[in-house]
Amino acid sequence: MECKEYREQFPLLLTDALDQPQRSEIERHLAGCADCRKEFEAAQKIWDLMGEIPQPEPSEAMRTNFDSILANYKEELIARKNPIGEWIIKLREYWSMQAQPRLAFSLLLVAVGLIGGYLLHQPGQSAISYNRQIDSLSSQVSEIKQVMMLSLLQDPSASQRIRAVSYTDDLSNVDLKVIDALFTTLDEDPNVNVRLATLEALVKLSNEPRVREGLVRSIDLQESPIMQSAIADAMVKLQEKSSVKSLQKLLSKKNLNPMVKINIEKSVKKLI
Amino acid sequence: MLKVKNGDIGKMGMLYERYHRQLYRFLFNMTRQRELSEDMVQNIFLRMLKYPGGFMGFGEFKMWMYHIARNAVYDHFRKVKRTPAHSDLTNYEERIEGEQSSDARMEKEEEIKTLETAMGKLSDENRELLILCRFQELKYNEIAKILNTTEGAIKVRVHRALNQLKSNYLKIEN
Repeated sequence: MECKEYREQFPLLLTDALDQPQRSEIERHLAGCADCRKEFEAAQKIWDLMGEIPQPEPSEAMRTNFDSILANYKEELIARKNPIGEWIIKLREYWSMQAQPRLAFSLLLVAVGLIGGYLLHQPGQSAISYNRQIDSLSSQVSEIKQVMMLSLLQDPSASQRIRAVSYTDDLSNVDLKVIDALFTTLDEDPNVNVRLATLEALVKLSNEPRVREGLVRSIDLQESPIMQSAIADAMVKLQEKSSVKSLQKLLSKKNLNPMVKINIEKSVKKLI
Repeated sequence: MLKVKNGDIGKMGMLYERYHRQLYRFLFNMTRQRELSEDMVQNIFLRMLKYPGGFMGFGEFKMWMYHIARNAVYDHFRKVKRTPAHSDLTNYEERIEGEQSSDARMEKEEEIKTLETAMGKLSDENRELLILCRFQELKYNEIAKILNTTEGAIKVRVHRALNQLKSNYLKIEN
């Protein structure tokens, strides 16, 4: 063996981990090799000195502390045997370990949200003004529709005028201007389809006494047989007895279409 | 040890009695902090009590204990990012005051202090190896089991660690 290999054995020699033959072999080498002997002595000095480094004793309290740790653990084990106790322990652990700051923070956030919401809300006032806004907006929309309808009624295209008439369904409160315009259309519009549509629209507005009166009045003015029949039907539908006179007057007209005549007679009978 | 696995707390009390001093010294030599080492001892034993599953039921309790202790030590080192080992020398200083020290004694104290500094300058691995070998007086095969390597490798590494310590010591002394 070379010196290097002997030197690798020094710790084994120091820890007494060699059997007798190995031990004597190294000792023989050390006796003959001054360098290795010097090396070994240095190693041995360090080794011995390490043994003199003070090794502290654990404090006396440690033992009793551990006994109480054991006692606590025993209690915990017993508590764990019933499910409620187990939950309590889990909750306690969860609370103490991590949840505390997080839970506090989330509670704070909820509180800030509640206070902020309360301050911003100011009940009553805002609801009223909100409703007021909606009211004014919807009345504005209705006004716009009215204006649009009135101007559309003047449109040269018959289909546009029918559309205008149909807008009356959307108007929330129909005022005098609209009713007048409708009657003008009913009496004077050159297109029979427009007049029919107008009649329908007016029938829907028959809650207004003015509309009923106007309808009765316009019976005289209708020349077209279709309109005459339609208006007679409308009178039956509305059960407008005051129209009987006008209808009878219509019957006396010389150029009345025979089919229309039969129809109007039927209507008059129903009304009487 | 199987009894502990079955939840026998009394048995763990016995093992504590037998091993806590040895464990404490290992932790103290590694960390050089007394209070920390005491806390670690309690935590390690409590851990072994709570999770006896880690002990496979073969081998020695002592080996298992060192496994857990090493993990705790290296976790601690990672946490403190190796601030220069603050050594707790109160014990040592108390002793100086307590004794009527002769010159020879003074000289010895000086050498020990130098050696402690030299130990502090070793890498964690080398220091641990010498602690296990010299202070804990474990056998090479036991150290090999704890460090999960072969006995031959441990013998070589102890030799190198001792050489390193020697050269650290000489450097400080001169």
